[in-house]
Amino acid sequence: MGLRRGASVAQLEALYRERYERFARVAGGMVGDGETGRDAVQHAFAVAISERHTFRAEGSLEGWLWRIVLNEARRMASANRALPLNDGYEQATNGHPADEYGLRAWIATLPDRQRAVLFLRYQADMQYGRIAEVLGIDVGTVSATLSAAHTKLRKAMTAADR
Amino acid sequence: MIDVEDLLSAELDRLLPAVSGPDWADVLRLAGTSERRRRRATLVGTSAILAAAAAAIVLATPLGAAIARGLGGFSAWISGQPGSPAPKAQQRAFAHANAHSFLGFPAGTQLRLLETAKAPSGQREVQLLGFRAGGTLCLRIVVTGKSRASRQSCAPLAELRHAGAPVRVVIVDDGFGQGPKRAWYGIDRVGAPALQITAGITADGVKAVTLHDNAGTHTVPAVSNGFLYVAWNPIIGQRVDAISAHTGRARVDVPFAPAPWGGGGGTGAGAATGPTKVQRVLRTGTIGWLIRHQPVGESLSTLQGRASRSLRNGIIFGRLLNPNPNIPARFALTLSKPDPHAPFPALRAHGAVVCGWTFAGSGAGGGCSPVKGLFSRGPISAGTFLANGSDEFMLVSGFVSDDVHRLVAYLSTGDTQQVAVVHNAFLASIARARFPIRLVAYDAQGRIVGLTSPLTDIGGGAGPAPGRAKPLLHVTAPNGATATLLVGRSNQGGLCTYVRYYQSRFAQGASINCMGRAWKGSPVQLGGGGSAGIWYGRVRADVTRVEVTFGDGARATIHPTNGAILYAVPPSEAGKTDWVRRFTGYNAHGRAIGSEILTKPANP
Repeated sequence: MGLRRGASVAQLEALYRERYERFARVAGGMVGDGETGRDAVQHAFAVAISERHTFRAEGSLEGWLWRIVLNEARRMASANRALPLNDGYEQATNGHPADEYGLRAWIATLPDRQRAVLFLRYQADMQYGRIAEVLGIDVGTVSATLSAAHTKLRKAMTAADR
Repeated sequence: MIDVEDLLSAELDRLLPAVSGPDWADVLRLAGTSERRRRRATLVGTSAILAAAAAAIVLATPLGAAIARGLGGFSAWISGQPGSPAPKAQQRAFAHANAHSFLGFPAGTQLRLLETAKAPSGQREVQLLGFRAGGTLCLRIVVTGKSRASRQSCAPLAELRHAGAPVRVVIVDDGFGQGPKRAWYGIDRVGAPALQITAGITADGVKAVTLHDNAGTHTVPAVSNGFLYVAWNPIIGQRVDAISAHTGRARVDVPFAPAPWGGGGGTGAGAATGPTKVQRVLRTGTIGWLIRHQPVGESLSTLQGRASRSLRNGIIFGRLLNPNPNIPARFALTLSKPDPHAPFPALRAHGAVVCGWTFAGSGAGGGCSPVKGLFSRGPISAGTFLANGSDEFMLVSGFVSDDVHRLVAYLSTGDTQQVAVVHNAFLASIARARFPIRLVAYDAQGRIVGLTSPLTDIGGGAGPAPGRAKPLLHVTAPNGATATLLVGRSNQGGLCTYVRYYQSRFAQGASINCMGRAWKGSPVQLGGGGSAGIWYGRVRADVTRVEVTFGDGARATIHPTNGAILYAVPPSEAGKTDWVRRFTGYNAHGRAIGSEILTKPANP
């Protein structure tokens, strides 16, 4: 028996509504701007609707969607100039200095895959196995990539603490 | 050694922005557009390919393709490429002004020319330019010839994410130059401008825009994803009151807020939406960094202009904040000494005050509150700011206590808008057509900790009718302050009363109160007081006398003149605290029919 093919619009909508915030935050991190990241999510789901018949149930539907979202985010990021992570746009920090470690600038300098792993890990709360599925890499590579990103950022934070 | 995992998790949570909420309808629209576009592409013949070459350059890039599926047809604006490159002279002038403003846009922002219009006399020309800078879309009007001026007005990109008509109005009836027409309206002799401009941005499918004003109905083409209507030599008070968009297949009414005129204009009687009950009551609160003098944000020395100098008077500590980089505005929060000339006793009596100032365009506005009891009514202090009455987008700004984690604006159109809060300050730009709005504050646990009363659009009431107001009453207070009350007709069939007040160069001004034909509210409507003890207002026609009850129990009688009252407390009551307790209105039969009770001491 072959794999079931295709996904319904209702399935896509359900995942969109359930996971929207995670998709938007990860995409925002990837492109360095919240609103452009949101554009990426919107466009990614539009693509997913158009291409839903090509989905093969070899992996999860959510994993398939994550790949499309990341691709859209990468396209938009490459079309834009490299921006620090949402430069100057700060979340409510009431009373505390924002970005005291200068993380925005450091994250912006990370290679594409390290950024993706970082955001999927910390913004989408994904386990290594799921990250590997989304990015189409081994779990070991996820671990190594994250470790490399940690090393760079630890260096940045240590420098900022001095 | 730093625990990177924990820190990263917390820091990324803090740094990543809250973005607009989900919109599945927008996804479906994008999907539909892209499918249609693909089908159409297979049908395009070779001859059409050449004609579409310029567009294809944009569409060929990944971003261009994404943009082409843009937000509800505003794709040219999203890509920042509407119209054609602006004339070099305009680009240079813009870059020069931009570089010299602390509210400037990023260097290198490119203007686009959307449309031009020439006066029938040939004496003036109007250029409509536009640009996108980050999350902001702006229209710039440049008038040349006999009148020379330029001005710009902006809308947030997020506005395009809200459901709405295929046209977003950005500027309404903005006047330029001086026309020959002059007339008295109340206490002001006003002149008509040489021209008035209404402009906005249009979606791809819009062919034309129809506007109605006092001079008739006018249809203008939608060109380069924008529209421009110029009323040449308008009459005084000429106002656009209806706009619709033509898409070729349908006509769509476009919501907008008419420009205010003499107290009128503004949005209609929409209702605020959103929660109305607080889940956790807060009566205390603070702004930690301000009290601790932590140097967050920027120095106040960044500020320019006269307003910044007055802000810095008596300052103990303050910083300039940029809560929303998508808006060309800043918010200053200061801890200051009380102003000895402040008109309100509360601001003179307390040790220190917290002041919040909004800076936008070439103007500034704000106010102060005593530190003691700063958040006694809740954790939000909010106000609205409109740099120009013709702007369709109004700033909502203010500050919140440290307890507030998230702030949301509930719009009258039923949707919501996230409001960025940074270092307790917030700034949002919201279409006036979406007012009234309500701000709702949430704590870190997601509980509602604060609500504002509905914030309303400007205007919306009766205004002065043509004609000069006539002096009716004049008083001099025991401290030497003087006031004159004048009366004129209102544009809704009732009366306008004007009070010109002078106490010192720090305390002077004029107030205006216009009513429609029918009396609304209490039969006795008096206001004023202040340190001079001058009271004024109007009473209903059946009120023949008003009795004043003073704080010490003494009484006095006032006889209205044509329904108007202007009254200065007598020397025997001057200097006492709690001067006036109540005004009671009596009819011709001696029956009390209305009163104004002052529940708090109104005077020092």
